[in-house]
Amino acid sequence: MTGIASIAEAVREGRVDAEEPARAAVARLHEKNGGPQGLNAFLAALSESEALALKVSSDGGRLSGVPVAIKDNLATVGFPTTCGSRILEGYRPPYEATVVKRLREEGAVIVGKTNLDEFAMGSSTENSAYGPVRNPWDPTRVPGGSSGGSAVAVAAGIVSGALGSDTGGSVRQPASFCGVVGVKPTYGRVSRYGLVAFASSLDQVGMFGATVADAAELLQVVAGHDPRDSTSVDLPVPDFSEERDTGAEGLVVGVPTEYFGDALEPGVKASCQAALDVLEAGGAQIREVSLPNTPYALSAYYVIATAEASSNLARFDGVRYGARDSSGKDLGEMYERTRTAGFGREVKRRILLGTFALTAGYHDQYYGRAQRARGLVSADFEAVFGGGVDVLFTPTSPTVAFPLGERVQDPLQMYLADVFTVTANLAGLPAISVPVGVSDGLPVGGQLIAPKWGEKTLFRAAFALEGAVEAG
Amino acid sequence: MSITREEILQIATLARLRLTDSESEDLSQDLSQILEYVDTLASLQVPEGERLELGPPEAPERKAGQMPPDVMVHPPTDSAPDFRDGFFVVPSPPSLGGADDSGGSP
Repeated sequence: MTGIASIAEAVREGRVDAEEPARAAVARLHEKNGGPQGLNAFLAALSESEALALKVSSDGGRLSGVPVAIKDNLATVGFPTTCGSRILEGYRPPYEATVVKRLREEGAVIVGKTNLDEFAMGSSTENSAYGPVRNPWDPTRVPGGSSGGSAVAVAAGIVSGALGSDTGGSVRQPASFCGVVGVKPTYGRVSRYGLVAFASSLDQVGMFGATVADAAELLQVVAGHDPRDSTSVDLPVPDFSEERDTGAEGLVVGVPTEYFGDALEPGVKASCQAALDVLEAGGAQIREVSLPNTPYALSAYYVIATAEASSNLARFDGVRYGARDSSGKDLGEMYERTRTAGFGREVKRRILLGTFALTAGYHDQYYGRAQRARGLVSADFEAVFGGGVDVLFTPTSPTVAFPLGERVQDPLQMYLADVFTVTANLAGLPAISVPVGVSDGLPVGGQLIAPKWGEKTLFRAAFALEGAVEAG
Repeated sequence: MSITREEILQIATLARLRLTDSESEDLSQDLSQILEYVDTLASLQVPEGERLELGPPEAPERKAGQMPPDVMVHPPTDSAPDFRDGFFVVPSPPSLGGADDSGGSP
């Protein structure tokens, strides 16, 4: 019994003690997380004695008794929220993120907080101040990032589902590297209240599951309007599970040529082609399309995201949150010393890049052009979807999981890991990564992208793809 | 686009960060490499007469006389017991001989 719906049903019907799934998850967590060869996926967790003392209600809730992990940039009561940074070491928020509150209200048990690249800035979960996370498929390789801890928690079978955040692919890329499902909803579908901001116009909370059904179940619970987040949209949330058995018959799947170029590893390309073949055999119509402004997307993303980050992270100055170095002679020195000691190298690099892009002399050259490119990337998607394409299919990442340490000294190579995922964030579209094969013993993810508010179509395609790959 | 060590230090000051010599050297190389990649944006074609940024149209300019008074704006004298020559008057701290203060009021 591993699926979220199965666990909740067994708990509600009294076939399993309500506390049992969470206790088992905590036992697995402590067995796999620590030690020199441990996964290091969790930064904080329930102890085994706390798990034994748990009291979980079995009377209702569609997530009754389901153990869930939360990325450590989402505010939680009962656990610290560090964002993987020294500057927030030991920080305990006085409130809870809306998504976490909604999970608990439906009976989920939060068993721990997962490791991440500091402030969600990274593609390998090597930028955490608390050490890198290991990929359970091969512990010498990265799990992807920045939500690497959440992806690993699901891939290693520790929890049934997990929340992450996706600013440029931080849910989908680690899902691909770890062989699980990861979904980024439409911008505005899920509340960001309680998500520590990295780049506010791009950030969305995302979900991990071992299956498409598990990811859909988590989104079903957390989606919907929240008056505490002015960017959350008041639209009805459709029932995503309705599409479980619809299949691919008649689905028009666009394949953008720009995503299948020379940068793609042969093994990834072969798995993606095989996935398209089984979708076509299932009745989908495969159509080659073009998104001509794709080459500008990664540049635009790294200018906009870092510009927003330089502003958002200005609040971490030793006054209101976390650590403070007050050894300086005045307030300005206190800010500088606190930030210099508290932030890691990648965060400093991005703050500096963003500050530079916003300076008066370079604003038009970088930030202005990046915003224009963002508009053109969005217009490309609108044209394709307006032309009758239901969903797009692309590889999630050009490569499989790369070795730990391989790209740490080369930030540009690290950024290129996001080249296929940033476009959905720039355009605010929903997207999902589904396992489509294995290359050199490592999982390959295929990405589906749908129009805004098109999660129902997205899940229809994802269910069909998952079923076709399993059957094929 | 390359970025010098001096420029990095200037940006770091704006961002309230201190960098060691080796950090500033390494970061100027990193940022130069990233900016060289980001310079692909320079080839973005912007038709003549179009705004660079796509987004909502800018608000039309309004003449000063058309601006309604802002009800939230109050003179500083409304929110402080004493305001002289452009300064709020406060009690002198004891280290500066607060007991002799003649102008301040709490």
